[in-house]
Amino acid sequence: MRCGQSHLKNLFMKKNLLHYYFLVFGIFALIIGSCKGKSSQTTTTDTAVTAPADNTITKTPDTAVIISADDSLKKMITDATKDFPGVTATVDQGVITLTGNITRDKLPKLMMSVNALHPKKVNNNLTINK
Amino acid sequence: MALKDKYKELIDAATTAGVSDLKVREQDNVLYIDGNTANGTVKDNLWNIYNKIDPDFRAGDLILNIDASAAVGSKAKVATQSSNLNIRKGPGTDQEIVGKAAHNEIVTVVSKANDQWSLIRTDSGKEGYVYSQYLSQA
Repeated sequence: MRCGQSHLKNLFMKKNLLHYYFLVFGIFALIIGSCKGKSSQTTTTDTAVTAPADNTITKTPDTAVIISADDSLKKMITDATKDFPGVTATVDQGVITLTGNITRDKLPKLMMSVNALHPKKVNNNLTINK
Repeated sequence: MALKDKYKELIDAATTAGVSDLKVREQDNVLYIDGNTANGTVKDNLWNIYNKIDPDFRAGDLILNIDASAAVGSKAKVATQSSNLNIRKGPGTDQEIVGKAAHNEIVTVVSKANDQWSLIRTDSGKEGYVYSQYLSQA
């Protein structure tokens, strides 16, 4: 009888132990599962963040007009007008004002050079000969 | 009249000619037209249209910036009016002249220092910076 009782007790304990194993395994599986979920969520978030950033990069050049700073314009205008001896250029808040004399055939070349410097505006006050 | 309407012929011509990266924007009563072309004739033609719409460019309501300078790695022709083109040690007219390229000479564009200056190499091996405006795609 006693032997039978202890056998039963053993069996009961083994069953309990098995339960513990399953429980531990279950918890472990849950933790792994939730971690995986989190890591995949992070990946998705990263992609989601990157997408609008890309859109902004492609959109910015379309909307913003680049205007050179006065310091940079003053330096560049010297190079741009160097081959036009009668021409004087002044820069004020992005606006280039051209004064002096030029012949009509040379005017487009000068304007091409000046327009390429990214000014805000060009005031052509030149006296045109011919 | 809106500036885009005033310069419609110019915008249409740029579109038809296949000007790449074409941007047309209006800001503070000035129209800004930017774009690139590998063809210097297209640029000249657009400037002729600009000059026709606004004779002698007096209105001050358009900034036309069409870049037709030769691309990096390509051959370029020296497009001065008739004179030689100065080759300089650095990008700027304050830099020492290290050589000259003849009018219509073909040179190689090595790199671009900025919007204005390109590093070039002549067939005789001279290397230095020239004003990009005087280079056209060969």
